[in-house]
Formats: sequence, structure tokens, C-alpha cells
Amino acid sequence: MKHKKKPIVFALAGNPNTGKSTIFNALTGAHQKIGNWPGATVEKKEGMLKKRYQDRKTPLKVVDLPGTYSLSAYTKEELIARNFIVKEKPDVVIDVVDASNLERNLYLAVQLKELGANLVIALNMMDIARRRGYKINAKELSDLLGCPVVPIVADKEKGIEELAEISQLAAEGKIKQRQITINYGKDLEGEIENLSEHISKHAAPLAKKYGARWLAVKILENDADVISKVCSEDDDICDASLIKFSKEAEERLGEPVDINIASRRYGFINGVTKTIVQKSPEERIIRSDQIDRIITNPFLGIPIFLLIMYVMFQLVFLIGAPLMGLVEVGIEAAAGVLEGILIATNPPPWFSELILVALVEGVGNVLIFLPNILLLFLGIAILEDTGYMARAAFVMNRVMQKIGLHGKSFISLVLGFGCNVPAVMAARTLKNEDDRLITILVNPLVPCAARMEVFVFLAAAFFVPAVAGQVVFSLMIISFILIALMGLLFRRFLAGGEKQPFVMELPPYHVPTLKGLFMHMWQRTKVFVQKAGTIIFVIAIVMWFLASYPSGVEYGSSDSYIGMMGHALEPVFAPLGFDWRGTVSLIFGFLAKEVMISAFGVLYGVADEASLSNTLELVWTPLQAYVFMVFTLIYVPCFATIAVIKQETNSWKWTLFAVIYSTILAWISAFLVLQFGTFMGYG
Amino acid sequence: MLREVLIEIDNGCSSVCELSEKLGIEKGVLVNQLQTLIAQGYLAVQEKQRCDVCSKGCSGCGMAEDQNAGVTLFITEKGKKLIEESP
Repeated sequence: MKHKKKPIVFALAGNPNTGKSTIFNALTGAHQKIGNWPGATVEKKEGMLKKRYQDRKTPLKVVDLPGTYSLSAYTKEELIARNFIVKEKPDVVIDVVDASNLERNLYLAVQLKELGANLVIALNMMDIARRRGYKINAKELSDLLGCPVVPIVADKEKGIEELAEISQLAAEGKIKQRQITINYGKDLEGEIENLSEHISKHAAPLAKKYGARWLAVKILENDADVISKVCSEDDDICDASLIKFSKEAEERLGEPVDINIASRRYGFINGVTKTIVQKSPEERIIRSDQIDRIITNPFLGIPIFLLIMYVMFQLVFLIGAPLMGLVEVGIEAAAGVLEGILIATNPPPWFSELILVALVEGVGNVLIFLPNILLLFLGIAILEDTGYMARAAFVMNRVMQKIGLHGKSFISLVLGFGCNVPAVMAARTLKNEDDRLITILVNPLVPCAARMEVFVFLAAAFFVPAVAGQVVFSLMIISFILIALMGLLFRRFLAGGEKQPFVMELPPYHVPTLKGLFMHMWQRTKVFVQKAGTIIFVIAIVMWFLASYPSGVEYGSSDSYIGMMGHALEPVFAPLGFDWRGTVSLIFGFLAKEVMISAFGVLYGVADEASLSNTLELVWTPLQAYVFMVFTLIYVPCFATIAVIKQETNSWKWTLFAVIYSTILAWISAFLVLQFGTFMGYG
Repeated sequence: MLREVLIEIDNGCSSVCELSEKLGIEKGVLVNQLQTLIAQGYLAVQEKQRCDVCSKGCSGCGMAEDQNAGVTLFITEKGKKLIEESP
């Protein structure tokens, strides 16, 4: 019986996103087996080398290792890659290196060399490197690292054949490797030597397998996996005796050993790249960085952000106005059909009235404004997908830091533009109680998507499209001013913890795809439409009931339940110019802010031919509408947000405070805006 | 080298772009160094909080999304200690 020949094994290593999978596919074609690495949910791919790349009789297997940045044992991917190289001893390790990010990628290559792998470097993305003006001397890189280097462009299958050939030669031992030793400095080298001796003496089999120096370096780096392996070899070695080496070295170095070792490796890599890469200084700055220099500039960042917001709101209303007209025609037609059906089927009068009020006036009037809401979400999706929103958050954070808000607060506040509920919860990451409390208290001042929908509705109803954008923009400005003022005020009374410096890795700019934009726009719009069909519809029914009963009263009159409720609270809001219907809308806004839109439809009873906008224009002035929007921007957040404030503060006192302070602040702000507007002659 | 990265972050250098200019390190290398600092416990990635108000979870909620928001890293207690102990 013939024995199957043991295949030659190529292990494919590399950082994530270096084209490793492309190379794997190019080398193996369709001959792939996909599974999981033992004991982990990390995908394992292996395949046989394509016939055309090999002329030897021995079969050749390619194993795709998980993408890793280093060979430490901090992640399971790193541990899998490292254990495979050490235990399975592949004949060759092909390290896929992104030539356009050479210095970054060489960290893994250097660690593979230290581990004693039979290494071949696949210098991928050479075309991109060339376009960026890098001239890489592959021959010199090969000399410095003591292993073959093959320049390739994997996605064009350039250099794959040469890579396969060189790797086979390396596997057969026809290309010699030269061991490289990084000098970790006098202090550490002494310690490495002592520890190597110690390991060779007490854990000889392990030293033979891994190399005593490699084990010593790893122990000094506090590599838990290596420490446990060495300790299990001999009873004379224990964690404490190994840690002693690390402690002594740390005292001598004046800094943690792992930091020192990593810095030395980077120093070595820096020296290598300086020798082999030529690049002109101006070519080093890529376009994204050039844009960031302007967009995130400490002086220009805020004006640019405000300009972008202004343009976005203007476009929403200018483009949205004609579309709204079309939707209105459609909804009127649908209402006509519905009315016809009701007349034909002759249901009880109360049922017809309920359907017409809740569905047509409640939900229908909400949906008329859908084009504007879609456009608003489209604008936000464009800003997010291009990568600008992350820059806006970064720019705004500078201001927040200045007013004393904690570094982590801005993440919570940015979330607030979507929904205040997760935003309040995001404050959990702040360790200091006072910092958390300040973040939670100012959070409801960030206009959430639901409030933005109310603003879009009211601005479109009361202002011409050219002014409507400016109105919503001004509300954003008021929100920022109040966040700053309240942040400063709370900071005076609540101490806060020490500063928490941070660094942001901003996503690269890119041109958004139509599919991506549509998906993000739809995800948000879906929430709005679902609410219109569920919560808004149900609350419209409740409002209809409260406006129609007790039995016999005129619909929506002072004698109805809703009229009584509104009139009871009217004196509180009369100084702000709100009538009882406006007051009732605010009360229902406590349940969910979008409900306010349908409340207008239901309460102002637009049963005749006139549109809701036209009806509202007759009862409210634009100034009153603006004052109403200011109040909505600031006053008590929705029920869900209050519940989450209670949950996060675990205090009724602070929950009540959040409700009361925001309502008082809203009343004062709205009153001041009304007085100022009247004084300016807008009344 | 890595300690300098931490010190500059502590001094208020808050974008990778600024940091790479200040330290004269290529952005790609700096990102790698930041990853090393995360792995060694000197920096921590800002974790995302999930809202448990509804049963659906945030994956289906367009309101809770923070698309393409970048990664924010904070200096940990271990990192602060290292900075304090710097000569």
C-alpha cells in the first residue's frame, strides 16, 4: 500500500486588510476547505496549491492564518497564528505585507522572524505604494530581514507565480534564512540572557521548541500564555520567579518592559524603512489628512460644521416643499377613497369619525411631511457615510472639553442626536459619578431625531422653504448654547473627576454608495413610519376619544375631556402664547415627541378642504410656532428617556430634577424668545 | 517611543492625524502603535452601550446608530501610571 506523501505547508500570515484572502484565492483557486480553528469560532481556510504553480511531486497545502497585527497573546487570533507556527511548523510562512503601509506591517514580520519562522514576504499593493510616491527597494529589505521578499499586486495576480516558486524553493531549503536579532538595549539584553539561561536549565524541551531567547523576551513582555507554558515545565519555576526578572528589568529601565520592547521593535522597523523606502515629504500627506487639516482645524472646524448644517437644513426644505405637495395630493385622494368606502358601508357615525380623525388627520397629516423627514435623514446619512459626522463630533468635543464636560461625554451627546435613551445609557462609561450626572442632565438638551421631525413639520407648516431651513438651524444653535451654559453651570456645583484624555482614529473619507445611503436613510425613516402606524395612530384614537367625550359635547370643545385638560393648564402656558390645543400637544409629546405632529391634526380638526398648514397659519403666527419649537426643544424629555434617567442615576431626586429644570428652562427660554420676537415686530 | 505617544495624548493631542504630525510618525505606524498600547492595556477603546428599552435591541433601531463614527481611545489607569512615572 502506497503512503500518501505529507504535503508541504505554506502558512499565510498578515495584518487584516492586506489582501491575504486575495492571495489565498489566487494560490488555491477553488480547492478550498473552510472550517473553524479548534476550540475557537475563528474561521480556518486551507486549500491545495493550484497545479499550474507547482511542478514538484509533493502536494502543497496553503493554510490561511487569522489576520493579526502582532504575535502577542492578547487576542485569540494572535494565539492561533502563533501556536500554528510553533506547533505545526509550516514549511514556509508567507507574510502578506501592505507595501503602502510598510512600516505598520513590518511589526508582524519582525515578530515572525524572531519566532524563527521560515519567512517569505509577499510585498503586496505595490501599485498603490507607487501611486503614493513610495520607491521600495525589495532587495535591500530582503537583505535586512534575512528572508526572500516578492513584490506583488495580488488583485491583478501580478507576482503570484513568482511568490509560489520562491516559497517552494524556501520550503526545500534552497533559499537560506538569516536570523535577525533585535538589540533590546544593554539593560534588557542582560536580563534576556539571564532569563534564557534560566529557561534552558529548567525548561529545556520548551527552549528547544521555541528558542530560549524568544521565550525570555515573551516572559519579559508578561505574555501569560508563555509564562504558564514555562511554569508547567518544572516545579522549580513559578510565576513569581519569572515575574522577578520582569520587575528587575522594569526598575532598571524606568518603564514597563513591554513598552520598552515594543518601542525597540518599532525603532528597528523605523531604521529598516528609512533605508529601503524613498519618499518625498509632500507625498507622505495623503488627501484625507489634507482635508482633515481644514475640517478639524481648531478655528475653522466650528464655522465649517455650522455652514454644513445650515446648507443641509436649507436643502431639506427647498427640495422637500414640492415633494410634500405631491404626497399631500396622494393622501387627500386616499382620504377621499376612504370616505367613499365609509359612506358606502354606512358604519356607525362614531366609527367613521374615529377613522377619519385618527387615520386621516392623525396619521395622514404626519405622513405629508415624510419627504422632508426622508431628506433630513438622507442628509445625515451622507454626512455619516462620507466620514464627516465623526469629524463634526471631534470638532464639537473641543468645545465641550472647554466648558468642563468630560472627554467621554461627547460620545454620549452625539448619540443623543439619534435618541436620548441610548445616549443617557452611554454615560455609564464615565466612572466619576458627577461627570456621569452632568452628562445625563445635559443630554436631553440634544435634539433627538423625534424632535427634529417635529421641527421639520412645524417649520414646513409655518415658514416658506427658504426660511424653514434657517429656523431649524437656529434651533440647533440654541441647543448648543444651552448645552454649553448648563454644562458650565452644573460644573460649578458638581466637582467631576480628573480629565480623561483621548485620541480619535477618524474613519477615512469616502464617496458613499447609493445603496449604503438608502439603507441608512431607510433605517431611520422606518422607525418614524412604524411609529406613525402604531403609537401615533393609537394616541390619535385616545385623543379623538378625549376630544369627543363626555357624550354629547362638541368635538374638541372646552367641555370635552381634552378641552378640560388643556384649559386647566392653559394659564401656565398663556404667557408663552400657546392656546389650550398647543398645551395638550405638549402633554402628549411627553409620551413620544412625534405624537405632537398628529396632535395638531386631530386637535385642529382639519376635516375640510384646507390643508393642515393653512389651518395652522390661521390660528398661530410664525413667532408663536417658533416659540413652541423652542419649548419643545428644551422641555421635559419623553417618557422613555425619563425612565432611563431614573435607571441610570438610581435616584428619584435627580430624575425629578431633570424633568423640572428642563421644563423651567424651556419656559424661560420660550418666554424670552417671545418677548424678543414681539419687540422686533414679529408678533 | 510608545510612552511618548501616551504623553502626547495626555497633553491634549486628540486626533491620530495631529498626533502623527506632532511625533513625526507615519499615521499607519501610529495606528499600529495605538493597537499595541490597547493590547498592553495602556489605552482602552470606548465601548458602545446598548439600549435595553425595547425588546428588539439596537441592531434594528435606526435611532441608536452611530454609523462610521470612528474609534475613540482613552488612557487607562495603567496608562496614567506610566505617564506619571515618566522622568
